Amino acid sequence: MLAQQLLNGVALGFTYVLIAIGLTMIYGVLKLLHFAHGVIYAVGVFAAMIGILYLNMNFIVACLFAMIIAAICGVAVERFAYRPLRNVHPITTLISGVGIAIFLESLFQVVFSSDPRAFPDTGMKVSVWKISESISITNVKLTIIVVGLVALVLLYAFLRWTKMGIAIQATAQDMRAASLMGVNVNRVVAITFMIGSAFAAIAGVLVAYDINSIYPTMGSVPGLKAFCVVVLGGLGSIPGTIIGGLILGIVESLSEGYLNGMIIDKDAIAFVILIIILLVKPSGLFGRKVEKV
Amino acid sequence: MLKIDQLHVSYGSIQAVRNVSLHVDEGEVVTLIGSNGAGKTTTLQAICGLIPSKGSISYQGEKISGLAAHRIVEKGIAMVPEGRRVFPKLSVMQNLMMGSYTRKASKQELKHDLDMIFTLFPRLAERKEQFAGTMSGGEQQMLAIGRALMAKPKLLILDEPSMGLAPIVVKGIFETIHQIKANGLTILLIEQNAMMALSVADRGYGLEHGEIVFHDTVENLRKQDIVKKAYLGK
Ligand SMILES: Nc1ncnc2c1ncn2[C@@H]1O[C@H](COP(=O)(O)OP(=O)(O)OP(=O)(O)O)[C@@H](O)[C@H]1O
Ligand SMILES: [Mg+2]
Repeated sequence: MLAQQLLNGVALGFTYVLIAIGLTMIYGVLKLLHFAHGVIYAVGVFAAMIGILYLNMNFIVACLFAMIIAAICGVAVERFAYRPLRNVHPITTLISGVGIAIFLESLFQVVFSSDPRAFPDTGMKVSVWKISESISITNVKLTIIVVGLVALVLLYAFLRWTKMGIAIQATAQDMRAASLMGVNVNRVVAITFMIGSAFAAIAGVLVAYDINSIYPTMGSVPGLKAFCVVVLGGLGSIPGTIIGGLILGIVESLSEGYLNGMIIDKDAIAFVILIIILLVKPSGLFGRKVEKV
Repeated sequence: MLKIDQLHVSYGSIQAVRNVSLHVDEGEVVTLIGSNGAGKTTTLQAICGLIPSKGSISYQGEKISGLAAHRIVEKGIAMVPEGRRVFPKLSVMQNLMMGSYTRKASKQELKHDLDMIFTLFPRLAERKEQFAGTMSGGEQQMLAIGRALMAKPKLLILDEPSMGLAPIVVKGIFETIHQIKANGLTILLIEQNAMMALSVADRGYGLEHGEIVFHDTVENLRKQDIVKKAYLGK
């Protein structure tokens, strides 16, 4: 039972990691809390749904389509909602992000109605793979773990060995110095939003497929939890975010298994962790000093 | 090569730079000296497109005021910023590679230029994989200069390379600047340490309260009373 819950927790944790990576990278580069990130996750899910239902895509193509559409939306949000507000008080970008989230969620409610719907039929079957007597995993959850690992390895290689990847790190460390090296900072910001948004979209599609449900506000709770993860790991720290996401996934999964009928809801755990971290170690597990927002 | 005409920069209501005109010819080393808050860094940031300014800045006959910083760097101006500003969590090697960001050079060319920088600064060669943030101030200054040279600039701008360094380290840094000059690079050197600055420069400008207060060749400047009194401590 423990091993089973841990395994479920890891799968859940990877979805949080995938959403939160974007937040932490964007914070790293722009020192901005991207409150519209959760809705980008929902954008990915709706894009995949449209791809499957109306454009005859198979599941894999629909995933790629979702990532591309989300990347475009992410870049657009940066370009039109955040960039005009650079160098203004950070609270204004925060409000702008929340505004975008509310706008897009309402738009989805108008277009797709607010009722949850099932994930469209992809012709794939959910199968259960028995690892041992008491441990099993569905192919969907296994896919989440594999996709999460592959995404992290690719991200690591990109940041470590490519020119643009190093430029992203340099920009996060000192934006002005980076522009003095000839780095087009706006392009770095756009690429950061693309990567983060694509990661959120793939997480969204896999979760929607796993829980077999799609609804307009489905990104808001994961988006908020991703914030908790990022604060837990330390704002701007990618390793911290990975550890933070896995911790949250595992804690949630264990509480579901062992603490049934608990006083607090499973979805509230993230926020309890957030409050504790803010009280005990506001810089997070791997963070340096935090700046006021 | 670089020509600034009637430059004005203000931060809100504060006029930090007023009516500054100066020029740097090809192959020259020009120094801009002035005390704290004179507006030296502000002038440089205007040249590099980091802050908006009024007046005209042209480089190789082409107007560059109003361009974004990265476009100016692409034209061959490299800057060693005040306070060094190396990337603390990148290795020495990665910092140097960031210096060559705008170049489309072959691996061989880059290797050749890296070797040149490692001969100039043997200390950097020993520390290729070290995080820049963990190096001493002097080493960081070497790295900042090496990083700028990796851009293969036509004009090198240094903002107070002596700041916060022990006299012996400053001496080393200036020996390097002499070597760079001997290689024929055009240099604009900002300094508070006039003694050191005049030792390497061909011409000098003095900046006070945002305005140019003197301008002459180094030989003549050494003779001028105000320069002697205010900057050379004689
Ligand atoms: N970002 C800023 N906002 C407001 N005022 C500024 C800003 N940066 C510089 N100033 C002001 O502009 C003036 C010139 O500053 P600047 O940094 O150019 O001086 P400096 O000659 O480089 O001095 P130092 O030798 O100490 O580096 C100073 O009075 C400073 O207070
Ligand atoms: Mg200065």
